[in-house]
Amino acid sequence: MTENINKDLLLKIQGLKTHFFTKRGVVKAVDGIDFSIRKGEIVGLVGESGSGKSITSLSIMRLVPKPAGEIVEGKILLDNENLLEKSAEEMRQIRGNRISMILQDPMVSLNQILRVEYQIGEVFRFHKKTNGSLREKCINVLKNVKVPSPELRIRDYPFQFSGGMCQRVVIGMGIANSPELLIADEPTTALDVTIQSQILQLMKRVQQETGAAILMITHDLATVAQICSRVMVMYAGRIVEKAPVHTFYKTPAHPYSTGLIKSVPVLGKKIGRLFSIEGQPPSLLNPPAGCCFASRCNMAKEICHSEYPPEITLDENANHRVSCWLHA
Amino acid sequence: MLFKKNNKKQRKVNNRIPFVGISFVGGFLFLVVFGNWIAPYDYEYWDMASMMLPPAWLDGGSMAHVLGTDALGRDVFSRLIHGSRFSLLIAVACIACYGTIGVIMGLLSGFMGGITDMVIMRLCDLWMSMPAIILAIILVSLMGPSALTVIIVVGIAGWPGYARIVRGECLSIKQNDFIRLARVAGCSNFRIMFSHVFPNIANTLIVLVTLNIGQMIILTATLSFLGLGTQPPSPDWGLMMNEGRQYINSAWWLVVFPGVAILMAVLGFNIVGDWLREILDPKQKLR
Repeated sequence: MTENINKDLLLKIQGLKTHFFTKRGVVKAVDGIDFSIRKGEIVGLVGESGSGKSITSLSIMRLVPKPAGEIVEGKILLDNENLLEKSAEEMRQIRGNRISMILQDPMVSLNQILRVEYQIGEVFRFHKKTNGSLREKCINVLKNVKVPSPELRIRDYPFQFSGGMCQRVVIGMGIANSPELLIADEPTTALDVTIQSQILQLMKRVQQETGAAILMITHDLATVAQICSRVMVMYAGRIVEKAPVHTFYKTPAHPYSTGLIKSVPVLGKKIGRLFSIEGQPPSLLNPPAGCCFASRCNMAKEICHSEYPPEITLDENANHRVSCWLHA
Repeated sequence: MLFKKNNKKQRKVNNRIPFVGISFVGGFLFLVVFGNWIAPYDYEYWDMASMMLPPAWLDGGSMAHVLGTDALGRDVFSRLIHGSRFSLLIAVACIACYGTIGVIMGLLSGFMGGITDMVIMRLCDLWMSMPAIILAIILVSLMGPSALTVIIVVGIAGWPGYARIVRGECLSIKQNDFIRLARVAGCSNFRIMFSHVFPNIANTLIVLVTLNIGQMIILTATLSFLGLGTQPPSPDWGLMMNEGRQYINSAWWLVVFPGVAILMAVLGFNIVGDWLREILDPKQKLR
């Protein structure tokens, strides 16, 4: 890799493994993933429920639920500093400051019995970056995310806000300290469609203004198409395909990606029954040998069932990589 | 139609404000605050000329001493009024003392989990298996009986109950996303515990404290009755019963009136506590 690419590299994850030690055995929620995010890009991480997307994001924040969960292996490099080697205190300085997060359900991600002002203030209390009074800063946060009459709303409680407004507040809190990386864990899942698109536009604008990189975790391919520049597909704790958005929709390489794209209904196209991927994702408790998708894949070869495929580069320039024996 | 009407009636009964409870508690608090001006005599005032007078409506009673007088000629009515302040002060001091310990322990235990949780919970078990009365007798023999001793004894004996309830609440609140978001914002454990979790258990605490004041009044009265608590001449209700005990055959009013006072105060606080639980708990409200 050249010096230049290294320079705008923000986050690099190498061989990250996060396992959960339960009574029934070890659940390999994240089982060896590598990816990197450049400064100021929006990357989508897609996959179905239980594929390890959220655990990946929690691992980056070092908030994996203890004591069951543990990061067993790998490196998380933020600007070439390994987050896994930081002390709890150093990590606290990074959270909310350099890395921030937006959670799925806005109605439960705010404390219902504390005023919004107090909760936004929390972000500033620990990271004294800007000047001005706390109140002004909180009003500015709400202004940034286009909450109407912020001077009045700041005194309200979260239950007096609608879902979309709550999510705006949460986003505002997320970007208040202009973080370098914003992890959005299904930020639009709990919202209705019209609000979804408003929130996505807001996030895109915010990204352009602050220059933060966004890791957009979602299972909604439409969201990805709308704002992301690159996509990563996660399946059973591993990343199976990484591609630029346009390549991904035009020529998906992994059979799972193909299935995902085929299962999205297209307006005005009569296809009868919607395509679905047969079967269930494998149990992460005892994952099968070989490719985890092999049992559901109609193009599976013999080797797919015995050996996990290596990562194959399809296009070096576009950074299109896939883990599949079909392309080996 | 008829059914609907019936249903409405039923619901109304359930949500009725408990006037009896509130008036008992209200009266009690009124005496606590304004007792000094209402009571006709000081609680230490004694008059040998008018000892063992029966209540006003019995033969030989006089309106000067509505509820009669005791063996030293002290006015029972006045002593009861002054006693309300003692009872409440001691009860509140006890609850403040062990409530604080209990809440801190419960929060630590529920929030930190792991080894901290285990140590605190086992400590609770240990503590609860120690009988409070025996602990009281030991401490009193070490420190001498006084109101302060009562507060300390009850204070250190009662915290496990609070700790358990707070821990339980904390465990469920901890699961919420807003706790995670507070973490993301960079809050420390202590900050999350006290400024995010604690306000969420305030409702439960209000109910708990109200229900507990009744118990505390009984417990402190018991200790005083046993001679382990407040000492004469203080007008503690339990102490008054203890002093009147030896004259129960000839002067029943010395025991009955303090007993009734305790009963009314405790009943009042229990009813109000139950009512508060109903209106403060959103799950109960839906019923």
